[in-house]
Amino acid sequence: MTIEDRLRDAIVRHTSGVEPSPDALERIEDKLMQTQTDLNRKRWLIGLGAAAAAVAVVVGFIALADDDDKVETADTTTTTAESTTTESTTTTEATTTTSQFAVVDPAPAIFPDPATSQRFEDPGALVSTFAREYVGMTDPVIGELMQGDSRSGEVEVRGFPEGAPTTVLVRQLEDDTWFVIGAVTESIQPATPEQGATVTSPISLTGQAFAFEGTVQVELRADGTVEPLAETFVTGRGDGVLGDYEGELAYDPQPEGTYATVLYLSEGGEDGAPIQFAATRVQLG
Amino acid sequence: MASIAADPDAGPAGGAAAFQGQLSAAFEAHYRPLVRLASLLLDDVGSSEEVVQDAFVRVWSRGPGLRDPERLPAYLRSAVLNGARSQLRRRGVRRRHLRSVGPGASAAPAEAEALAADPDGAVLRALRALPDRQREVLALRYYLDLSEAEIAATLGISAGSVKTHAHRGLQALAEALEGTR
Repeated sequence: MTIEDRLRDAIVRHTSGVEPSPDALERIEDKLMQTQTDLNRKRWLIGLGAAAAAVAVVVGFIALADDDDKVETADTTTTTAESTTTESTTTTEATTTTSQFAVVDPAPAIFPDPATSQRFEDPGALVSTFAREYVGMTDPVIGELMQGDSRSGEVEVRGFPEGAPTTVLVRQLEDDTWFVIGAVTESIQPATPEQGATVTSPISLTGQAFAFEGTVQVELRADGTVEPLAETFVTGRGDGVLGDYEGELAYDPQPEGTYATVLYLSEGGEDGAPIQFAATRVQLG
Repeated sequence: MASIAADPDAGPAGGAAAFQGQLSAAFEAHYRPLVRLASLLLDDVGSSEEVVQDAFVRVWSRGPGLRDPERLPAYLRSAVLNGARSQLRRRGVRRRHLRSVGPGASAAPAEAEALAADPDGAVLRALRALPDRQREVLALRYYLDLSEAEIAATLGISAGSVKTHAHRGLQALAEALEGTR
């Protein structure tokens, strides 16, 4: 008997004994309802935020109109110290959400999404939120800002205290708040797509990597979406030495010019959370 | 049975009934084979069902584009394989953690011991011990009888890579099972 016959026989005998539970469809429906509820809540919060922003802008204009002879106006945020408009801000720790914000070029900005009002005055807070909310790390260890020039720098992130670092590149953009513009790590070294490239589906993924079982999860995240547009995995090496990988990432058609990020995740935390990652900004052609 | 809210992306012709009808039809057609596929990779039915249910939820909550009957099987298969892979990675990390806690902590569960007495157990254990790609290519080929092109589309790799992984996987299985039966 050949190995193929043995494998086929074993598979047939094993699978014929596997029967799904009778309430499986109901469980899927419950999970879908829960997902829909979460999504609705998120949409509602975004709508509420937009409404609050609109009200704050109107109030600001009224205040200006009533108080023309005052040059300085009530500005409670340090991010726009020279601003002559009124801003309503909500500050929690170093995270600032402004109701009125300067237009930021979305080309380099991976996080926060420039189209939202989420802004960060502190690069440490930015990277901490990015690592948890965008990358999905459970308990990231955030290093100090290593200043590059006066408006940019690097912050190291580790999945656990002794873990290998991922270097997150941060920069102050047009509104003087901080944005993540890239992330690199020794164990994942993408060659294509290149930073800033215009790509079409399927995106060719090449580079070198080492990870647990050689597997690197790859996700394509468009701005403003909760779920990845597409995901796949590539296989480098699992023995601590960089190995070539190649793969493809196919996605459904998107409006031309959409900005997106290719996120590479090396998972290995006890809960399967990422421990290292890399991020490349692209534009969908 | 729980009723699902109307699909916001379904358009005027959509609505809760159409949405539910599509889901039921897809469930009937694909759920059982996908659970069986996942069980080849994961070895316990509970986890396999979780992975397949999550795959349905993922595909169904991402708009009607993915629910095109032509493309649905491939999307669901990919989602199941991704889910199974994550599950296996989590288990691997957990096992390593238990091993570091002390001897005996990573002892095989009763289910695995029972499987060892099964004549097919050795084959399935050897299959599950293969690297991700090899394991998945063999499962897709020998359980679902997919063509090389279909496997390539499911895994997002070239047909040539499918051939290579299948060849290496069978070779590794033959070596692992040498001297048995």
